[in-house]
Amino acid sequence: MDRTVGDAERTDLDQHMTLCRTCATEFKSLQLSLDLLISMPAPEPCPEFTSETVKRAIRAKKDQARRQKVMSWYLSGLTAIISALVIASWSMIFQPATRVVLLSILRTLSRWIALYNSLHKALSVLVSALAYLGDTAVKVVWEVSSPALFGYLIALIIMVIFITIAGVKSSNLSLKRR
Amino acid sequence: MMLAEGQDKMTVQDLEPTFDQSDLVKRARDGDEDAFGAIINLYRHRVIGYCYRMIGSDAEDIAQEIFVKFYLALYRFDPSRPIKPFLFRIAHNHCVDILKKKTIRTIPFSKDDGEKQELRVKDERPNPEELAQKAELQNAVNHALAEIPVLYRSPLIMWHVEGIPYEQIAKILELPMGTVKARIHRGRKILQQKLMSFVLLNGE
Repeated sequence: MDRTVGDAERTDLDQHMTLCRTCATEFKSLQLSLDLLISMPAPEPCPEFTSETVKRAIRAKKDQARRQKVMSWYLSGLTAIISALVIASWSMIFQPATRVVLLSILRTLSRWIALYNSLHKALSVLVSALAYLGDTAVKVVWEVSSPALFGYLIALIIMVIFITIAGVKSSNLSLKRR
Repeated sequence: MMLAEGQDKMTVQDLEPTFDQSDLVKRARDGDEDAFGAIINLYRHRVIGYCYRMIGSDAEDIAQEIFVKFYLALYRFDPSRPIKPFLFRIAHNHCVDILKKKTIRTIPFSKDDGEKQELRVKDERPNPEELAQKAELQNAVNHALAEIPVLYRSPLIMWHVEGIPYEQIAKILELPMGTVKARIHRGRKILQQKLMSFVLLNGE
């Protein structure tokens, strides 16, 4: 089975297997399963399986590789053009005339930013003041007002909601009538 | 020891072609279509058979892809060396790649396909009962092969079916010879276990 056994060893093995039933059975079953594997017929190559077919497949593969190569060249060319454009525009920035325009734009921008910052500061002060006042007002209402006042406020809110709903309904009805 | 004799017969049958292949390789490398055609004719049966046992289905298409790879790799092949190990190395790697993608080995034919297969292999027409029995047996072997892990299946096929020596299998699989022997042994044992019921029937 290993094709490495010499004649003498083979004779010994044969003799052993005539005496030992276990070894003989094992060998026979192993050999039979290998025979099944070896005798398993593989498909016959079809008549079209020739060098011409394989060559055609090679040509197709080479064409595909060529197309990929062309595509990669195209992409690298495109990248080169874009890079050249970027570099050119970047170098244009450093021209004196461009620089003057750019600086004026930057100055205007910085002015806007400064204005925005001062407005933002003023607004934040206003917001914090309102928040403080709001907090104080709530505290005053909460501490000073009686539960009756609180209930009155809730009733007022409910009334406002009802009035709003009624208004919406009436407008819907008038729309339907039209 | 009738079976052992059969084994010897297979070994003799599977010897490398006796003529010098280096010229063939050189000519094929230089674009000689006839030389490349001769290489294909010499090895297509073996490569298809190997792919069939390794993958199961689409053996012919896979073999074609292997020959394409072989042709593209010819420029780095030393013509003084035998073609078979080089070709089988490509075949093995290609089959393993396919199996990795597939994750499972497909079972190529049902009972009907087996009949067609048998008709393509032999011209004589056996009776339907015999045909069905053979198809069933082929299915069983195919299922058994599918259940052998690839690392055991490949050296098992190379050794027992293709008759490639241990040293060459070790080179093809880039493994030590001891590992190759151990894997073949393990593969044999798995195959024996999987085909036990058929073996018992045939052994009686």
